[in-house]
Amino acid sequence: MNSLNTLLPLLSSIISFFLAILLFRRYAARKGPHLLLWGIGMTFYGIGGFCEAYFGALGWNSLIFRLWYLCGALLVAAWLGQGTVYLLVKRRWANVLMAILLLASLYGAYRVFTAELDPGLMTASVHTGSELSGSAIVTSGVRMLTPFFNLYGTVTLVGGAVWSAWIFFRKRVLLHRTIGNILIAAGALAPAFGGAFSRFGFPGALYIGELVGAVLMFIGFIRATTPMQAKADQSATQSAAD
Amino acid sequence: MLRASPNKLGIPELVRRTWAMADRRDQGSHRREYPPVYEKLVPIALGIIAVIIVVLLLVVLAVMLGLFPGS
Repeated sequence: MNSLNTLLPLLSSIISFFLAILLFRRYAARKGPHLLLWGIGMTFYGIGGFCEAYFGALGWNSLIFRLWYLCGALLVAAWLGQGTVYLLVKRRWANVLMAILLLASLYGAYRVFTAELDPGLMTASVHTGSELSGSAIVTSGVRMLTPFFNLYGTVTLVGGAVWSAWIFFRKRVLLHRTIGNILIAAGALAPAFGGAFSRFGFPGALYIGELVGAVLMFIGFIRATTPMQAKADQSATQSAAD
Repeated sequence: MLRASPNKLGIPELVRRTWAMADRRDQGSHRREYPPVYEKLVPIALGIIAVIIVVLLLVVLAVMLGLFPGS
């Protein structure tokens, strides 16, 4: 199980960093704050995966744990969701929410990096202990921050993707975006689903959920940015030529 | 030659044809559909995602109320 606990998050990390690079490149070419924020969010995803792989391979390290908790547990969903906010909400409101998220993230970073840790607590709860877990944080109030960030992230990222998919579906336009948004929504939900199973004591559930999430979001992004009409036209031309 | 054709058709006929074209265009836009597979799959997928969101929100609520220990 230890090799899987290294391999699965390592794969998630590689896929996430690769997607982050694609997003940053697209941002450099087209601008748009949503691309920048999604890129930052996927970088957080990658850092989280890397920290989990490090823990699986080399064991406990307090700096790695703090980085994992900050990037992988606290910020990733919220920053990805903020990207979607820029896409769907008026710029003025998105800027206000961005300022709040930035301040909250700085506060979260301060709390995580000053928290008292006890790795022994990770095996003491119903949690399997084979995965990194916030149970290691002793200082009260730090873990209470997580649901607020994740709720905001889930509502904005998943809600935004589902909303966009529904709008495209209702108008029966841009099929590639409909499919892409569905995959992105499913991908964003997968780690949360894995986390829920992990909470109930299923070993490896969180890391599997994260890997599935990274893969689905990657495919979703590629799908959403690749029009299907071109492919259909191409195959039509091909058949005409045949 | 080009100027002759409206005279040939007459104004009422031109109006009738124009309306017919508009109707066909409207009907076409209403009939626009995704490929059949996606017409079925998309609403199912969106429904499943909606159910998962509700389940996860319930789990989050339960955890916040202290019903489950964990990470």
